[in-house]
Amino acid sequence: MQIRRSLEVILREFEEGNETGEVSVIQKICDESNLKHFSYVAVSPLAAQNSKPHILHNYSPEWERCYWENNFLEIDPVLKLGFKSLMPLDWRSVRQISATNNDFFNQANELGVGNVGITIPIRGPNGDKGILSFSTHEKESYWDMYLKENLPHINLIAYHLHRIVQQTNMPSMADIKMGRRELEVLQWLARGKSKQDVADILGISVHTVKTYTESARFRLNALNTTHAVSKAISLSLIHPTHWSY
Amino acid sequence: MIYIVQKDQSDGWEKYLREMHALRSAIFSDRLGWEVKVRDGLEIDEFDNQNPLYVLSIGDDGQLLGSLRLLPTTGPNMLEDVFPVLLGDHGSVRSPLIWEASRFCVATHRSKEFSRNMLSHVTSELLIGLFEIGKLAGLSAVVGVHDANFKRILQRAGWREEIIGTPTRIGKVKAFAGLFPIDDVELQKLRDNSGIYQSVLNSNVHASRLAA
Repeated sequence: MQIRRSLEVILREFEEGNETGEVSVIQKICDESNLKHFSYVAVSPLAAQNSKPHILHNYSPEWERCYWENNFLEIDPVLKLGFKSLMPLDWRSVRQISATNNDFFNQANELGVGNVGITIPIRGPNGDKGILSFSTHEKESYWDMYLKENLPHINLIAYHLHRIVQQTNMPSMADIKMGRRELEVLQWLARGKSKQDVADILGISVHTVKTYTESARFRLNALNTTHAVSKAISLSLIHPTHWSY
Repeated sequence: MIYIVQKDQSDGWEKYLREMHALRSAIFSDRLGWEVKVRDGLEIDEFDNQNPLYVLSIGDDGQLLGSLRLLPTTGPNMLEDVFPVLLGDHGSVRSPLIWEASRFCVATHRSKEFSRNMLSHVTSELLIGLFEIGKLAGLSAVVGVHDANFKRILQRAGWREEIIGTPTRIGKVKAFAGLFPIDDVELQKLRDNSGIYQSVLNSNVHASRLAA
Protein backbone atom coordinates (compact mmCIF):
# COMPACT_ATOMS: atom_id res chain seq x y z
CA MET A 1 0.00 0.00 0.00
CA GLN A 2 1.56 3.24 -1.08
CA ILE A 3 0.73 6.81 -0.37
CA ARG A 4 -0.50 7.61 -3.84
CA ARG A 5 -0.70 11.37 -3.83
CA SER A 6 2.58 12.63 -5.24
CA LEU A 7 4.66 15.14 -3.35
CA GLU A 8 4.28 17.56 -6.22
CA VAL A 9 0.49 17.55 -5.87
CA ILE A 10 0.69 17.80 -2.09
CA LEU A 11 3.06 20.76 -2.27
CA ARG A 12 0.83 22.58 -4.72
CA GLU A 13 -2.12 22.02 -2.43
CA PHE A 14 -0.13 23.24 0.57
CA GLU A 15 0.97 26.37 -1.27
CA GLU A 16 -2.56 27.21 -2.35
CA GLY A 17 -4.26 26.62 0.97
CA ASN A 18 -4.85 28.57 4.11
CA GLU A 19 -4.85 26.89 7.53
CA THR A 20 -7.98 24.80 6.96
CA GLY A 21 -6.35 24.06 3.62
CA GLU A 22 -3.42 22.41 5.38
CA VAL A 23 -5.74 20.25 7.46
CA SER A 24 -7.72 19.21 4.42
CA VAL A 25 -4.54 18.40 2.45
CA ILE A 26 -3.34 16.05 5.21
CA GLN A 27 -6.88 14.67 5.60
CA LYS A 28 -6.92 13.76 1.91
CA ILE A 29 -3.59 11.94 2.28
CA CYS A 30 -5.04 9.99 5.22
CA ASP A 31 -8.24 9.10 3.36
CA GLU A 32 -6.38 7.74 0.36
CA SER A 33 -3.78 5.84 2.33
CA ASN A 34 -5.69 3.88 4.99
CA LEU A 35 -4.46 6.25 7.70
CA LYS A 36 -7.09 7.24 10.27
CA HIS A 37 -5.55 10.13 12.14
CA PHE A 38 -2.85 12.76 12.07
CA SER A 39 -1.60 15.38 14.47
CA TYR A 40 0.94 18.13 14.05
CA VAL A 41 2.48 20.22 16.82
CA ALA A 42 5.04 22.99 16.35
CA VAL A 43 7.01 25.16 18.70
CA SER A 44 9.24 28.09 17.85
CA PRO A 45 11.88 29.45 20.21
CA LEU A 46 10.71 32.89 19.13
CA ALA A 47 7.09 32.50 20.12
CA ALA A 48 6.07 34.42 23.21
CA GLN A 49 6.17 32.42 26.42
CA ASN A 50 2.42 32.37 26.92
CA SER A 51 1.55 31.54 23.31
CA LYS A 52 0.23 28.07 22.71
CA PRO A 53 2.03 25.59 20.48
CA HIS A 54 0.62 25.38 16.98
CA ILE A 55 -1.61 22.30 16.77
CA LEU A 56 -3.48 20.68 13.89
CA HIS A 57 -5.24 17.32 14.23
CA ASN A 58 -8.28 15.27 13.27
CA TYR A 59 -8.80 13.25 16.48
CA SER A 60 -12.31 12.54 17.77
CA PRO A 61 -13.93 15.08 20.15
CA GLU A 62 -14.02 12.25 22.75
CA TRP A 63 -10.23 11.84 22.68
CA GLU A 64 -9.72 15.59 22.66
CA ARG A 65 -11.95 15.99 25.74
CA CYS A 66 -10.29 13.06 27.51
CA TYR A 67 -6.85 14.52 26.69
CA TRP A 68 -7.53 17.96 28.16
CA GLU A 69 -9.61 16.73 31.12
CA ASN A 70 -6.80 14.40 32.20
CA ASN A 71 -4.15 16.99 31.48
CA PHE A 72 -2.35 14.52 29.20
CA LEU A 73 -0.19 17.37 27.97
CA GLU A 74 1.91 16.60 31.04
CA ILE A 75 2.53 12.94 30.23
CA ASP A 76 2.02 12.62 26.45
CA PRO A 77 5.12 10.59 25.47
CA VAL A 78 4.80 11.65 21.82
CA LEU A 79 5.29 15.29 22.84
CA LYS A 80 7.93 14.43 25.41
CA LEU A 81 10.11 12.36 23.08
CA GLY A 82 9.20 13.78 19.69
CA PHE A 83 10.78 17.17 20.27
CA LYS A 84 13.95 15.58 21.65
CA SER A 85 14.51 12.94 18.96
CA LEU A 86 15.82 12.70 15.45
CA MET A 87 14.74 9.13 14.72
CA PRO A 88 11.09 8.56 13.81
CA LEU A 89 9.22 7.15 16.80
CA ASP A 90 7.24 3.98 16.31
CA TRP A 91 4.51 4.11 18.95
CA ARG A 92 4.93 0.40 19.76
CA SER A 93 8.49 1.10 20.92
CA VAL A 94 7.37 4.15 22.91
CA ARG A 95 4.73 1.99 24.66
CA GLN A 96 7.42 -0.37 25.89
CA ILE A 97 9.32 2.37 27.72
CA SER A 98 6.93 2.64 30.68
CA ALA A 99 3.56 1.54 32.07
CA THR A 100 2.38 5.19 31.92
CA ASN A 101 3.11 5.27 28.19
CA ASN A 102 1.35 1.97 27.68
CA ASP A 103 -1.78 3.19 29.53
CA PHE A 104 -1.76 6.41 27.55
CA PHE A 105 -1.73 4.58 24.21
CA ASN A 106 -4.39 2.13 25.42
CA GLN A 107 -6.74 4.99 26.26
CA ALA A 108 -5.96 6.68 22.96
CA ASN A 109 -6.71 3.46 21.12
CA GLU A 110 -10.03 3.03 22.95
CA LEU A 111 -11.07 6.49 21.81
CA GLY A 112 -10.29 5.76 18.19
CA VAL A 113 -6.74 7.07 17.70
CA GLY A 114 -5.50 3.69 16.50
CA ASN A 115 -3.37 0.79 17.69
CA VAL A 116 -0.33 1.68 15.60
CA GLY A 117 1.28 5.02 14.88
CA ILE A 118 4.42 6.88 13.99
CA THR A 119 5.78 10.30 14.91
CA ILE A 120 8.20 12.17 12.68
CA PRO A 121 10.38 14.79 14.42
CA ILE A 122 10.97 17.88 12.27
CA ARG A 123 13.74 20.45 12.66
CA GLY A 124 13.74 23.81 10.96
CA PRO A 125 16.67 26.14 10.33
CA ASN A 126 15.76 28.70 13.03
CA GLY A 127 15.54 26.49 16.07
CA ASP A 128 11.90 25.78 15.25
CA LYS A 129 10.71 22.23 15.75
CA GLY A 130 7.64 20.19 14.95
CA ILE A 131 6.25 16.70 15.10
CA LEU A 132 3.83 15.04 12.69
CA SER A 133 2.12 11.80 13.72
CA PHE A 134 0.00 9.37 11.74
CA SER A 135 -1.97 6.56 13.35
CA THR A 136 -4.47 3.92 12.33
CA HIS A 137 -6.09 0.58 13.12
CA GLU A 138 -4.03 -2.03 11.36
CA LYS A 139 -2.36 -5.39 11.73
CA GLU A 140 1.21 -4.92 12.94
CA SER A 141 2.75 -6.90 10.10
CA TYR A 142 0.93 -4.73 7.58
CA TRP A 143 2.02 -1.58 9.41
CA ASP A 144 5.67 -2.66 9.22
CA MET A 145 5.41 -3.05 5.47
CA TYR A 146 3.51 0.19 5.17
CA LEU A 147 6.22 2.14 6.97
CA LYS A 148 9.03 0.51 5.05
CA GLU A 149 7.38 1.58 1.83
CA ASN A 150 6.26 5.07 2.83
CA LEU A 151 8.63 6.47 5.43
CA PRO A 152 10.63 8.74 3.08
CA HIS A 153 7.38 10.08 1.65
CA ILE A 154 6.03 10.72 5.16
CA ASN A 155 9.29 12.53 6.04
CA LEU A 156 8.83 14.83 3.08
CA ILE A 157 5.18 15.53 3.88
CA ALA A 158 6.13 16.33 7.49
CA TYR A 159 8.90 18.71 6.48
CA HIS A 160 6.85 20.61 3.93
CA LEU A 161 3.81 20.89 6.19
CA HIS A 162 6.09 22.36 8.85
CA ARG A 163 7.70 24.74 6.39
CA ILE A 164 4.34 26.07 5.21
CA VAL A 165 2.98 26.46 8.75
CA GLN A 166 6.16 28.25 9.84
CA GLN A 167 6.03 30.64 6.91
CA THR A 168 2.45 31.58 7.68
CA ASN A 169 2.43 31.63 11.46
CA MET A 170 5.76 31.99 13.11
CA PRO A 171 8.18 34.89 13.43
CA SER A 172 11.44 34.05 11.70
CA MET A 173 15.09 34.66 12.32
CA ALA A 174 14.93 37.43 9.76
CA ASP A 175 12.66 39.34 12.13
CA ILE A 176 15.32 39.29 14.82
CA LYS A 177 18.18 41.71 14.48
CA MET A 178 20.49 41.61 17.46
CA GLY A 179 23.23 44.13 18.05
CA ARG A 180 26.84 43.01 18.50
CA ARG A 181 26.98 44.33 22.08
CA GLU A 182 23.66 42.66 22.96
CA LEU A 183 25.04 39.34 21.77
CA GLU A 184 28.33 39.83 23.63
CA VAL A 185 26.47 40.55 26.85
CA LEU A 186 24.24 37.49 26.45
CA GLN A 187 27.26 35.36 25.60
CA TRP A 188 29.01 36.26 28.86
CA LEU A 189 25.83 35.90 30.89
CA ALA A 190 25.40 32.44 29.33
CA ARG A 191 28.82 31.54 30.73
CA GLY A 192 27.59 32.37 34.23
CA LYS A 193 29.14 35.82 34.62
CA SER A 194 27.36 38.44 36.74
CA LYS A 195 26.34 41.78 35.23
CA GLN A 196 29.22 43.40 37.13
CA ASP A 197 31.67 40.83 35.66
CA VAL A 198 30.34 41.49 32.17
CA ALA A 199 30.75 45.23 32.69
CA ASP A 200 34.38 44.69 33.74
CA ILE A 201 35.12 42.30 30.86
CA LEU A 202 33.64 44.58 28.20
CA GLY A 203 34.86 47.80 29.83
CA ILE A 204 31.39 49.36 30.04
CA SER A 205 29.21 50.37 32.98
CA VAL A 206 26.80 48.04 34.76
CA HIS A 207 24.03 50.38 33.73
CA THR A 208 24.94 49.92 30.06
CA VAL A 209 25.08 46.14 30.52
CA LYS A 210 21.56 46.29 31.97
CA THR A 211 20.38 48.36 29.02
CA TYR A 212 21.78 45.85 26.50
CA THR A 213 20.26 42.95 28.45
CA GLU A 214 16.89 44.64 28.50
CA SER A 215 16.88 45.38 24.78
CA ALA A 216 18.01 41.80 24.02
CA ARG A 217 15.21 40.50 26.23
CA PHE A 218 12.73 42.66 24.34
CA ARG A 219 13.95 41.58 20.89
CA LEU A 220 13.79 37.92 21.85
CA ASN A 221 10.36 38.29 23.39
CA ALA A 222 11.71 36.76 26.60
CA LEU A 223 10.32 37.02 30.12
CA ASN A 224 13.60 37.66 31.92
CA THR A 225 17.36 37.50 31.39
CA THR A 226 17.64 33.74 31.87
CA HIS A 227 14.87 33.20 29.37
CA ALA A 228 16.59 35.55 26.89
CA VAL A 229 19.85 33.61 27.25
CA SER A 230 18.15 30.26 26.67
CA LYS A 231 16.28 31.57 23.64
CA ALA A 232 19.48 33.01 22.18
CA ILE A 233 21.17 29.62 22.63
CA SER A 234 18.34 27.64 21.05
CA LEU A 235 18.37 30.06 18.11
CA SER A 236 22.14 29.52 17.80
CA LEU A 237 22.66 33.27 18.20
CA ILE A 238 25.22 32.56 20.90
CA HIS A 239 27.25 29.48 21.76
CA PRO A 240 28.30 29.15 25.37
CA THR A 241 31.51 27.17 25.46
CA HIS A 242 31.14 26.24 29.10
CA TRP A 243 30.40 22.57 29.49
CA SER A 244 29.40 20.46 32.39
CA TYR A 245 28.78 16.75 32.56
CA MET B 1 27.93 -3.43 18.37
CA ILE B 2 26.48 -0.02 17.39
CA TYR B 3 24.48 2.05 19.87
CA ILE B 4 22.71 5.29 19.08
CA VAL B 5 22.47 7.98 21.70
CA GLN B 6 20.37 11.12 21.36
CA LYS B 7 22.21 13.96 23.10
CA ASP B 8 19.09 15.27 24.85
CA GLN B 9 18.17 11.78 26.09
CA SER B 10 21.62 10.66 27.12
CA ASP B 11 21.10 10.00 30.84
CA GLY B 12 23.29 7.06 31.77
CA TRP B 13 25.58 7.61 28.75
CA GLU B 14 27.70 10.40 30.28
CA LYS B 15 30.79 8.20 30.58
CA TYR B 16 30.65 7.15 26.94
CA LEU B 17 29.98 10.67 25.65
CA ARG B 18 32.94 11.93 27.65
CA GLU B 19 35.11 9.17 26.17
CA MET B 20 33.83 10.08 22.72
CA HIS B 21 34.84 13.74 23.15
CA ALA B 22 38.27 12.58 24.41
CA LEU B 23 38.67 10.26 21.41
CA ARG B 24 37.68 13.09 19.06
CA SER B 25 40.34 15.26 20.68
CA ALA B 26 42.99 12.54 20.26
CA ILE B 27 42.11 11.94 16.61
CA PHE B 28 41.16 15.33 15.20
CA SER B 29 43.41 17.61 17.25
CA ASP B 30 46.43 15.46 18.20
CA ARG B 31 46.72 13.12 15.23
CA LEU B 32 45.22 15.01 12.29
CA GLY B 33 46.07 18.51 13.51
CA TRP B 34 42.67 19.98 12.65
CA GLU B 35 41.90 23.37 14.13
CA VAL B 36 39.25 22.18 16.57
CA LYS B 37 38.45 23.52 20.01
CA VAL B 38 39.74 21.29 22.80
CA ARG B 39 39.05 22.01 26.43
CA ASP B 40 40.15 19.76 29.30
CA GLY B 41 41.08 17.10 26.75
CA LEU B 42 37.61 17.06 25.21
CA GLU B 43 36.79 18.17 21.67
CA ILE B 44 33.36 19.80 21.70
CA ASP B 45 31.92 22.24 19.18
CA GLU B 46 28.69 24.21 18.87
CA PHE B 47 26.97 21.43 16.93
CA ASP B 48 27.19 19.21 19.99
CA ASN B 49 24.74 21.73 21.47
CA GLN B 50 22.21 21.08 18.68
CA ASN B 51 20.98 17.79 20.14
CA PRO B 52 22.77 15.55 17.62
CA LEU B 53 22.43 11.80 17.38
CA TYR B 54 25.68 10.03 18.33
CA VAL B 55 26.54 6.68 16.81
CA LEU B 56 28.87 4.71 19.07
CA SER B 57 30.75 1.50 18.37
CA ILE B 58 31.25 -0.31 21.67
CA GLY B 59 33.27 -3.51 22.05
CA ASP B 60 32.16 -6.66 23.89
CA ASP B 61 34.32 -5.53 26.82
CA GLY B 62 32.39 -2.24 27.06
CA GLN B 63 35.14 -0.06 25.55
CA LEU B 64 34.33 2.77 23.16
CA LEU B 65 35.90 1.85 19.80
CA GLY B 66 34.64 4.61 17.54
CA SER B 67 31.95 7.17 16.96
CA LEU B 68 30.29 9.57 14.58
CA ARG B 69 27.72 12.35 14.84
CA LEU B 70 24.50 12.91 12.90
CA LEU B 71 22.55 16.12 12.34
CA PRO B 72 19.59 16.73 10.04
CA THR B 73 20.40 19.10 7.16
CA THR B 74 17.08 20.88 7.76
CA GLY B 75 18.48 22.34 11.00
CA PRO B 76 21.85 23.91 11.81
CA ASN B 77 24.68 21.74 10.43
CA MET B 78 28.38 22.01 9.58
CA LEU B 79 28.17 22.01 5.81
CA GLU B 80 25.61 24.79 5.82
CA ASP B 81 27.03 26.89 8.64
CA VAL B 82 30.80 26.20 8.66
CA PHE B 83 31.80 24.90 5.21
CA PRO B 84 29.44 26.66 2.77
CA VAL B 85 32.56 27.44 0.69
CA LEU B 86 32.68 23.75 -0.28
CA LEU B 87 29.25 23.88 -1.82
CA GLY B 88 30.17 26.50 -4.41
CA ASP B 89 27.55 26.58 -7.13
CA HIS B 90 25.83 23.51 -5.77
CA GLY B 91 23.86 25.65 -3.34
CA SER B 92 22.84 24.27 -0.02
CA VAL B 93 21.99 20.73 0.95
CA ARG B 94 18.76 20.97 2.88
CA SER B 95 16.45 17.98 2.81
CA PRO B 96 14.48 15.94 5.34
CA LEU B 97 15.88 12.88 3.54
CA ILE B 98 19.55 13.82 4.02
CA TRP B 99 21.40 13.86 7.33
CA GLU B 100 24.94 15.08 7.84
CA ALA B 101 27.56 12.76 9.30
CA SER B 102 30.57 14.34 10.99
CA ARG B 103 33.40 13.57 13.45
CA PHE B 104 33.82 9.99 12.23
CA CYS B 105 36.63 8.49 14.29
CA VAL B 106 38.02 5.13 15.34
CA ALA B 107 40.19 4.24 18.35
CA THR B 108 42.65 2.34 16.16
CA HIS B 109 44.83 1.33 19.12
CA ARG B 110 41.87 -0.54 20.62
CA SER B 111 40.49 -2.13 17.46
CA LYS B 112 42.83 -4.81 16.16
CA GLU B 113 40.24 -6.71 14.12
CA PHE B 114 39.98 -6.22 10.38
CA SER B 115 37.14 -6.99 8.04
CA ARG B 116 37.40 -8.63 4.63
CA ASN B 117 38.33 -5.38 2.87
CA MET B 118 41.24 -4.87 5.34
CA LEU B 119 39.55 -1.88 6.90
CA SER B 120 39.32 -1.83 10.66
CA HIS B 121 36.29 -3.84 11.74
CA VAL B 122 35.11 -0.77 13.67
CA THR B 123 35.22 1.38 10.52
CA SER B 124 33.10 -1.15 8.64
CA GLU B 125 30.72 -1.46 11.57
CA LEU B 126 30.25 2.31 11.84
CA LEU B 127 29.63 2.64 8.10
CA ILE B 128 27.09 -0.18 8.04
CA GLY B 129 25.52 1.19 11.24
CA LEU B 130 25.22 4.61 9.62
CA PHE B 131 23.53 2.94 6.68
CA GLU B 132 21.10 0.93 8.81
CA ILE B 133 20.17 4.05 10.80
CA GLY B 134 19.56 5.89 7.53
CA LYS B 135 17.15 3.13 6.46
CA LEU B 136 15.33 3.28 9.82
CA ALA B 137 14.98 7.04 9.54
CA GLY B 138 13.69 6.85 5.96
CA LEU B 139 16.63 8.77 4.45
CA SER B 140 17.82 8.81 0.84
CA ALA B 141 21.42 9.92 1.49
CA VAL B 142 24.00 11.01 4.01
CA VAL B 143 26.24 14.01 3.39
CA GLY B 144 29.65 14.55 4.92
CA VAL B 145 32.82 16.62 4.75
CA HIS B 146 36.06 14.65 4.77
CA ASP B 147 39.72 14.70 3.80
CA ALA B 148 41.63 12.64 1.23
CA ASN B 149 42.53 9.93 3.76
CA PHE B 150 38.98 9.30 4.71
CA LYS B 151 37.96 9.44 1.07
CA ARG B 152 40.26 6.46 0.41
CA ILE B 153 38.71 4.57 3.32
CA LEU B 154 35.26 5.16 1.91
CA GLN B 155 36.39 4.01 -1.52
CA ARG B 156 37.77 0.80 -0.04
CA ALA B 157 34.51 0.26 1.86
CA GLY B 158 32.80 0.56 -1.50
CA TRP B 159 30.21 3.20 -0.73
CA ARG B 160 29.59 5.19 -3.92
CA GLU B 161 30.19 8.87 -3.40
CA GLU B 162 28.96 11.80 -5.37
CA ILE B 163 31.28 14.75 -4.78
CA ILE B 164 29.31 17.96 -4.52
CA GLY B 165 30.71 21.46 -4.87
CA THR B 166 34.44 22.06 -5.18
CA PRO B 167 37.12 20.37 -3.06
CA THR B 168 38.78 23.19 -1.13
CA ARG B 169 41.81 23.57 1.10
CA ILE B 170 40.74 24.39 4.65
CA GLY B 171 43.67 24.94 6.97
CA LYS B 172 46.13 22.10 6.27
CA VAL B 173 43.51 19.82 4.83
CA LYS B 174 41.95 19.43 1.40
CA ALA B 175 38.28 18.97 2.19
CA PHE B 176 35.65 17.19 0.10
CA ALA B 177 31.88 17.34 0.51
CA GLY B 178 30.27 14.09 -0.58
CA LEU B 179 26.78 12.69 -0.87
CA PHE B 180 26.39 8.97 -0.07
CA PRO B 181 23.23 7.32 -1.31
CA ILE B 182 21.26 5.03 0.98
CA ASP B 183 19.77 2.24 -1.08
CA ASP B 184 19.80 -1.55 -1.08
CA VAL B 185 22.45 -1.83 -3.80
CA GLU B 186 24.92 0.23 -1.79
CA LEU B 187 24.18 -1.66 1.42
CA GLN B 188 24.82 -4.97 -0.33
CA LYS B 189 28.16 -3.64 -1.61
CA LEU B 190 29.18 -2.57 1.90
CA ARG B 191 28.18 -5.95 3.29
CA ASP B 192 29.98 -7.93 0.56
CA ASN B 193 33.14 -5.86 0.89
CA SER B 194 33.29 -6.11 4.67
CA GLY B 195 31.82 -9.58 5.17
CA ILE B 196 29.39 -8.20 7.80
CA TYR B 197 25.96 -9.55 6.95
CA GLN B 198 24.00 -9.30 10.18
CA SER B 199 22.58 -6.07 11.58
CA VAL B 200 25.17 -4.18 13.63
CA LEU B 201 22.60 -2.11 15.57
CA ASN B 202 21.89 -2.90 19.18
CA SER B 203 18.28 -4.07 19.44
CA ASN B 204 17.48 -1.41 22.03
CA VAL B 205 17.51 1.21 19.30
CA HIS B 206 14.17 2.79 20.04
CA ALA B 207 13.04 2.70 16.45
CA SER B 208 14.09 -0.91 16.05
CA ARG B 209 10.55 -1.98 15.23
CA LEU B 210 10.97 -0.22 11.94
CA ALA B 211 13.64 -2.67 10.95
CA ALA B 212 11.16 -5.51 10.52
